[in-house]
Amino acid sequence: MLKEFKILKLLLPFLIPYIILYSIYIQLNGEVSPGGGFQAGVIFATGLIAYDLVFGKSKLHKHISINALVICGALGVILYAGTGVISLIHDENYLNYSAISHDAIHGQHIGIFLIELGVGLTVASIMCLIYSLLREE
Amino acid sequence: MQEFFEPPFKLSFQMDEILLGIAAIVMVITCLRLIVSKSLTESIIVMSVFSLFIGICYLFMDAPDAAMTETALGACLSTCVLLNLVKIVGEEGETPKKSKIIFASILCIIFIAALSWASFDLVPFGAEDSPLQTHLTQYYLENTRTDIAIPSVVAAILASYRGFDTLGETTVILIAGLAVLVILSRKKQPNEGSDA
Repeated sequence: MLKEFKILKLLLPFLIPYIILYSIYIQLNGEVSPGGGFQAGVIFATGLIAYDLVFGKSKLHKHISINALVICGALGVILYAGTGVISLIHDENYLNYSAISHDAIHGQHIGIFLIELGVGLTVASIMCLIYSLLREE
Repeated sequence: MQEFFEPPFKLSFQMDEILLGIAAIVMVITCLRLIVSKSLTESIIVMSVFSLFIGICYLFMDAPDAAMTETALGACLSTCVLLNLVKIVGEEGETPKKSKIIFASILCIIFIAALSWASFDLVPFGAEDSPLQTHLTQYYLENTRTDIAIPSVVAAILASYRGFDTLGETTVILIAGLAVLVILSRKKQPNEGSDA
């Protein structure tokens, strides 16, 4: 649908790196600024989908297969759940990040970073998956 | 504590409330535009604009997290998915019967009246002494700095205090994606079988 617009086609390769950079910025600064794993994942998926929407011909599908997306989504949940298991090993409650490191606050920081990474991975891959399933074959 | 959670600056003469009112009026106009839109593509674009203005409203209400999510998901991503669906479904939908339209609009008006009536019982926006804000919110605001020591209280609640909830949400997103995959791949297989 958007294939005929030449200005979009010229502008988008210039814009997509900044969209993806912004999503990485939100992912890494989740505990300082607004946003977090979910928002970062959605913006990352938006960058990839914009590429697919303008250039068409299921180019996204060629580079990233559906199996890879499903595996990435499952990996995110496993990363999240695994972070909780670390604190179980250290005789603490499930998802109590204070047990991860010797310093309780340092452990909290590591735990929050890891689970935000898991959420971002899952959301980005599932959004791409839903888009590529519903697109015109 | 004070320097930690104080907003960096606040507009004088309640500029944010005036802007919020303007955004709300634009949202009503967008809804009216949605009623008279003729094609599917047009309504999808108008819905995207509506989402964008809800995001701006959240921003004026000091909820940047919600604003970011609404703009990215509602205005951007779902619009892309729906625009692709239009290509499959076709531009022109079936025009519904007039009796159905009248019935639907009566239902809508009753719904609007009920919601407006119920909204009089809501606590005022930003009230500090409402039951919602006095128990757990107090605890989170007082203990985030000593327990977790990150500036964003929202991230602290979501990731650490309410870690179980977020784990459930992430799992729900994964299951939703897998459900879409299962439904659409089951639909495709019999078609391929009949072609071959």
